[in-house]
Amino acid sequence: MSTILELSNVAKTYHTRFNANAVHALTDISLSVEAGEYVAIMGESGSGKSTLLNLIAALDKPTAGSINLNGTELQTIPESKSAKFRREHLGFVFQDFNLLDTFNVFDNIVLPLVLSKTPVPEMEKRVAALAPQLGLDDKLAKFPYELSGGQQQRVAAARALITKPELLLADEPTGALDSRTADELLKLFSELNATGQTILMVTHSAVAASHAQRVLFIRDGQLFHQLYRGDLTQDEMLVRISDTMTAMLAKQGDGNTANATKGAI
Amino acid sequence: MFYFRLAATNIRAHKRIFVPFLLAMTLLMIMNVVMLSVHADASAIFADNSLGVQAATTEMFKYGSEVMIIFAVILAWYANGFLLKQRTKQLALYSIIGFGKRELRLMVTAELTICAAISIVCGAVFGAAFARLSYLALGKMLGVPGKIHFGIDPGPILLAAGIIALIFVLLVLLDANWLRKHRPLAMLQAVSAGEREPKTRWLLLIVGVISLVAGYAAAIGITNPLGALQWFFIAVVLVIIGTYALFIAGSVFIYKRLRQNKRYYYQPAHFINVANMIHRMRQNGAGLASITILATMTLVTIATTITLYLGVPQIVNTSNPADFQYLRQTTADKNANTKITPAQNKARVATIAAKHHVTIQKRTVTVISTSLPVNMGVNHVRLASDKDYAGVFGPSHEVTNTDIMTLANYNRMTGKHVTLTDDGILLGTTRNLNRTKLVFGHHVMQVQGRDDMPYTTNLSATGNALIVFKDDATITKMAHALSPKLGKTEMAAMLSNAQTSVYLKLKGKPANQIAMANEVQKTKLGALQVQSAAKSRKQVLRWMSAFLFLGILIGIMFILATALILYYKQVAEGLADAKRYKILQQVGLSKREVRATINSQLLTLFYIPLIVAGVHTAIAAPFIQRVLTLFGIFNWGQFAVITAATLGVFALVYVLMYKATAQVYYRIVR
Ligand SMILES: Nc1ncnc2c1ncn2[C@@H]1O[C@H](COP(=O)(O)OP(=O)(O)OP(=O)(O)O)[C@@H](O)[C@H]1O
Ligand SMILES: [Mg+2]
Repeated sequence: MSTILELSNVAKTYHTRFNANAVHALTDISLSVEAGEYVAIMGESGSGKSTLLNLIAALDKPTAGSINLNGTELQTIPESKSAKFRREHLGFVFQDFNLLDTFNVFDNIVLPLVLSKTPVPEMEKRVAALAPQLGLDDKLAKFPYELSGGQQQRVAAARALITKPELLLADEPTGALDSRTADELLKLFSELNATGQTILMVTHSAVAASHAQRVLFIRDGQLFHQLYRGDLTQDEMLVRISDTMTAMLAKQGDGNTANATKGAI
Repeated sequence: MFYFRLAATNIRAHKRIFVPFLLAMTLLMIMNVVMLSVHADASAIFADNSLGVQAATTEMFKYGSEVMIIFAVILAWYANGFLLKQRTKQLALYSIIGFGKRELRLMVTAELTICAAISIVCGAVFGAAFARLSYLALGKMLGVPGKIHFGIDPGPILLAAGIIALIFVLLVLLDANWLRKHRPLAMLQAVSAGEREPKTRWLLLIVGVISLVAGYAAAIGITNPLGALQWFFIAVVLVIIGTYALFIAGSVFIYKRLRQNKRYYYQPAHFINVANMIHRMRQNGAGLASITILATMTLVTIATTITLYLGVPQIVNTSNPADFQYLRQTTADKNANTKITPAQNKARVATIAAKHHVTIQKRTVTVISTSLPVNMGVNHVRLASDKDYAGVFGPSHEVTNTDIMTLANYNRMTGKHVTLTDDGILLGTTRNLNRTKLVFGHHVMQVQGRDDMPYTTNLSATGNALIVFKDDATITKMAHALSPKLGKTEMAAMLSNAQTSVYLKLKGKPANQIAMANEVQKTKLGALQVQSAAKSRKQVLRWMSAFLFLGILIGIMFILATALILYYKQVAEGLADAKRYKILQQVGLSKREVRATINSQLLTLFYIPLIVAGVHTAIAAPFIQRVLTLFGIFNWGQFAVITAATLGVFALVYVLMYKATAQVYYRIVR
């Protein structure tokens, strides 16, 4: 197996315009993802998960450290080429779908292909191959407002996959879905992973994370812990994840108690 | 009071949407102040002209200010709708935290009241200042009469304030109705629901095509301006309807066609724009159509008034073919009640001219036996009837005001020695009527030469002609043939009533020529209907200056309105597009590509109104030129050049306005 993504000592600090205080969204992250892996990232709100994903997607630049995607150092890509790089090597699925309401399903899916000037027959071939897999073959002429949330998220997944990206990034893809449609999407991700698609998914849901082969826990901008699924069943994995979450929260609770104690003294 | 404080906080907190609204309403106030002032003072501005001109211009600007009020209502409605749409979410939140409909209504009413106060006060101040300053600067420069209150009349300002206040009352009612119809949760959903794809509106499309074609055809087809002014107004209305319908329905149709062409559509440069346009045109078709109509009106108003202003010499020339002219009544006229001889008349005029340091360079005396409106048909010459004047396209081409002269008088006038046979005539016309013979009843007259026309005015929709007959006896015969019912005595009376006109070519300062004209008029020396070119030049110049002043003023109003709509469009579209462009960046469009896409899209939206306005103006130009001929301006090239120049300047102004407003768009989208 080859390493597809390698982060070493990545940090990201935000300086807000009106506030002199800097926000240390990520302090020191090192991790690597192998080709064909399915990795989930968990952590509480504000721990820096989205920031991490944005850095990997070259939507933003790290303050320190390096990110290597399939042999390319992201820092070396000039601003003008980063969009092209993104659409050729990465697929991104968002929590709120981010479909363009002026395009029908087909056009939303082929958007990245159009931007890379793919010939029309090739586009049609790819959509024809991908749509059935996502259950979208009879929805291609519809517009986003005519679709359910789950269907919209599948369209977004199709848009992310149509370029055959080396890495599929997903930021809380089930966040806006009910549990049944969320399950469908997770099943889809597992199937995609089974065909060799590398996936990196941020999630709040222990259930969602339990589908992955590996779960990373982030706290205060740092890697806190990671779990390998190995031979565990999904349910066993779910228990382990819940335990880790509890531990992570408890630790934080400890800190609070300590402070409180100090305060009392 | 609580609601007012809340409203004030809201307005401050949502500057981004309230500032455009306040700007719009203030501008509408300004425009109404200016238009109503123009209307109120029209007779003062045209004080140097006849009462007829004053009444006509007052009437014209009454329509103008009515149009402005309608325009204000439409724009206020549009701006208010935009305000509501942007605030739906906020209003929904208020209602979720416990505001009932009544409270929301009070809050919105308080906001509108504050906005009304601000825009009426600011608008009154700026409107009065603008009107006054433009009058002081431009009006004085152009020589508009001095002792008027233009811009500082309280009447029009109060009236404008009343109109704007009423419009605000309308907005309050509209908002109350909107709040009544929408439930808070439905409001929230309405915000998050995606937009529907607009349908091609076939009916609107067909109506648009038909109106535009009919309007264009009418505008081009009306060849006579005087008889068909109302047709032109119908054409204008048709073109306006067509423009709106086509911008709204036609653009969706065209872009949908483009989308069907896969090779065209699936290209980075077209893909995003075509899809966006289909959705945008529904929202913005009306805005673009308004810009187009305003631009056209600006172009037409300014180009026409400039042409009139620059055309003053031509206008004077057509109504005053000579520097000086008068009808002479002396002892030479049979039934004239005077003792002055022709020679005395000549001498006295010469004395007055010398007194005023004016030299008479040439003197021409014409004796017209009679003047008749005739239809100079190929087969028959007959007296013109009402039917000849009432054609759809105005008076028929063959209708001419014909002067009849005897050969003796013609030779005396020209100093030539022409001879004619008994059935011979001389013919000259301002129309291209090439006749070798004219048939009067059963008399066939041979045209034996082309005569030189004396000084003829050219101020009518019909042509002029001069027919020279051998003698009075021939003239009587022909007149009898034309109207057999006329008795011998009446005929004799008509022919004995020959009119003698004197035309002078002068050299001397205009002021001196005017003084000379005034004195000739006052002195009893057998000169009636004294006309001085210098005098009428001064009057016409005043008239046209007033026109130009108002043309420029109204043109500026139209341009401001255009700027306002442009600004609104940019804000509205910026807010709508901001999310779209963010998504595109995430999917893999670089900042530069995003900017290029925005540019190309804005540019399309930018050029279309300008181009269509250019076409509209070009179509209207022939008709306007024909109206200008009524004033005596026959120079097509001049009008074309002025229109083109106006278009150029307007395009430049438009580019500047666009650049300024595009910044607003970029700031929102970024
Ligand atoms: N553009 C930004 N400017 C300033 N601060 C930012 C920006 N984006 C994120 N932050 C800050 O960085 C920290 C991490 O944010 P991030 O969005 O990565 O959290 P997250 O783990 O994705 O949270 P959630 O689970 O709620 O989505 C937060 O404190 C946030 O306020
Ligand atoms: Mg996040």
